[in-house]
Amino acid sequence: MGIADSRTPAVHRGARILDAVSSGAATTPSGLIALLELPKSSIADLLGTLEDVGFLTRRVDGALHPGSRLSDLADPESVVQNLFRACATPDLEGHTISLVRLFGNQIVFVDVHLGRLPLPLTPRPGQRAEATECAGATAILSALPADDAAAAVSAAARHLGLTDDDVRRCLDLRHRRRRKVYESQSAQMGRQLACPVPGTPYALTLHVPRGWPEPAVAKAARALHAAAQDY
Amino acid sequence: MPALRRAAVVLQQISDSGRPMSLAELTQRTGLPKSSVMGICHALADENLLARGVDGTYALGSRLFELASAARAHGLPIGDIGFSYPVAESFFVAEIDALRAEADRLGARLHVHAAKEDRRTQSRQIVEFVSAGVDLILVEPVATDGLEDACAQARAARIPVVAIGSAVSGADAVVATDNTKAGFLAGSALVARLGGRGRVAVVGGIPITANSDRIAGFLAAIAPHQRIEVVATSYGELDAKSGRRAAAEILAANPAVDGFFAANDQIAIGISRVLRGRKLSVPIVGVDGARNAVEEIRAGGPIVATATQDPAALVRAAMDIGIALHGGAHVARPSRYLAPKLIDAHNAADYQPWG
Repeated sequence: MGIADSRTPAVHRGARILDAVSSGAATTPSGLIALLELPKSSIADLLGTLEDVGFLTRRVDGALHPGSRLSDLADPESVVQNLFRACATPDLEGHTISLVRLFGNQIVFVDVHLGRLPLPLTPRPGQRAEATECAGATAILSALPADDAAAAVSAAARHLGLTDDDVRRCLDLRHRRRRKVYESQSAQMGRQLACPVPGTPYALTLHVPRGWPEPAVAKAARALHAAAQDY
Repeated sequence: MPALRRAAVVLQQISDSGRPMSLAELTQRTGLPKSSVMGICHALADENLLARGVDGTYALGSRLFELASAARAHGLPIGDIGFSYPVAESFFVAEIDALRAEADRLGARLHVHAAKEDRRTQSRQIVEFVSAGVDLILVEPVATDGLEDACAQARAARIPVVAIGSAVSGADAVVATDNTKAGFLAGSALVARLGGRGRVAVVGGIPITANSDRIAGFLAAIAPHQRIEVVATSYGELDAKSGRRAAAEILAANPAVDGFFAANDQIAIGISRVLRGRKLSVPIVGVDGARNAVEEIRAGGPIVATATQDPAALVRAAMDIGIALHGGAHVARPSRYLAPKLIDAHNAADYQPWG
C-alpha cells in the first residue's frame, strides 16, 4: 500500500522524513521540501509532530537529527550506548560487536558497532538470524532459569508460527552450566563469541573475523566479558 | 490526535510490552479507535517500523532498529561539560572562551571551575562533576599525578575525562602542544641568538608533563653546543610574579647570565620585568605565543622568541575526542599533540596571538 491509497498518509510521510534525516540526505526543512516534494506547510506540520514525539531533534545550528525517543523504543533498558562504550578497549579494537536479544527462535540485532575487519556476514541493526546460528541466543538462554528461558522463546512463538519442535530445538541451545563466554560457528554467520548482559534481555556478541589468531581471540573474549559485566 | 502522534503511542506500547501485541490488545491499551489503530499498524508495517506476525500480532520492525542506531550514531547529545583549570591566567581564559563557543555550538551547558593550582581542589572538582552527572570532563591539570582516584570515579560513571595541555594519570585522552618540540624551537632560537656560546638559566613551571617536556626539548636543542652552559635552574608557576621571583633568585647567584629559557610566556614576562628594571640586555625565550610576549618580541625584547600554543585548537581537538568517547567510539589516537611554531622578530608582525 502506498501513500496515495493509505488511510494514514502522515505515517508514510513521517517515515520518509525520518529516512531522509537519518541518512543525511536532507537535514533542514528546505532540504526536505526539495527532496520529498511536499508543500512547505505539510513539512512544517510533520516536523512539528515528529519533534514533539521525540523522533526528531533540532540542534542549535538548526540541523535535524534522529531523536533519542527512537533509541528508547528499540532499547527501553537504555544500555546500548554504555555497553558499546565499555567495549571501546584495545583488545576489541577493530572488531564488529553487536547487541542481540531473543525473539522466538531468532535473535534480533538491536544495534551493531561495526568494526574494520571483514566478516562472512556483516550484521545490521534490526536484522534477524536463526538462534541456532548465534552464540548470543545460547548466552541469553543459558543465563535464564529453565522456566524463564521457555517463556522467552514462547513469547514470540505464535507471532513466528513456531511449532513445539521449533521451540524445543531453540531451548536445546541452553547450557545447564553457565559460562562466561559462549561460542558458535556457522557457515552463514561465521564464528561468534557472546556474553549475557546481567539484568537485561541482551547478549553482547563479538563477530570473530576468519583466521583471527587464537591468543587475540582469547583476549577479546575476556574484554567482551568484562564489558558485559561492567558497563 | 494526528496520525503520527498515534503511531508513536502504538510503537511505545509494543516497546513497553517487550512482546508481540494484537490489534485488540493495542486498541485496549492505547484507548484509540480500533479502525485508527488498524490503519496505523498497517502503515507502520508497510514502512517496516512494525513487523506483522503470522498470527496477526505486531512486533517492532527492522527499520525502527535502523533508525534507533542512526539516532545513536548521531551521538548522544552532550548536555553538560565540566572544565577544571589551574588559575584565571590568560592562556586558560582563552581556552574557556573557546570552550564556550564549542558548548554553544552543541547547545551544551559549560561548568567552569578554577582549581587555584591545588591538585586536591582539582581532584574534588572532578568528583563533583561526576556527582553532577556531566557528560564530559575536561581538565587542564595543575599536576600530572594525584588525579587518579577522581579519574577512576569518572571512568566508573562512564564519563570521559580529556586532559588539555598536559597528560594526566588516569585520563582517557590528552590533547596538548608538542611541548618537546616547543622547547626545542625556543632552545634553537636562544642558541642562534647567543651565537652558540653563553651561560643560560632555565625556569621551569608547575609539575606537569608539558613543562618537563619543554625543558627536555630545550636541553636537546642546546646539547650539541658545548659552549652553551646551563648555570641555573629554577621553577616558576603560571604568572609573571613567579617569573620575577625566579629571575631575582637566579641573578643573585649568577649575575652573568647570558640568556633565559622560560617554560611559559608569563614567567618570561616576569623575567623580562626584572631584566628591564636592571637595564640588562639578556635574551629570553619562552613557550605559549601569548599576546604580551609577542608584543615584546615586536618591540625588540628582552623576550626574543616564543613557541606557540593554540588554546582554541587544543580545545577543539579535545572536544572532538571527548564527543567521540561520549558516543562510545574507540579513539585510535587518545594522545594528540599539536605542532608549535616559533615566533621571533622575523614573523612576529604576521602572527595573530591569542589572548
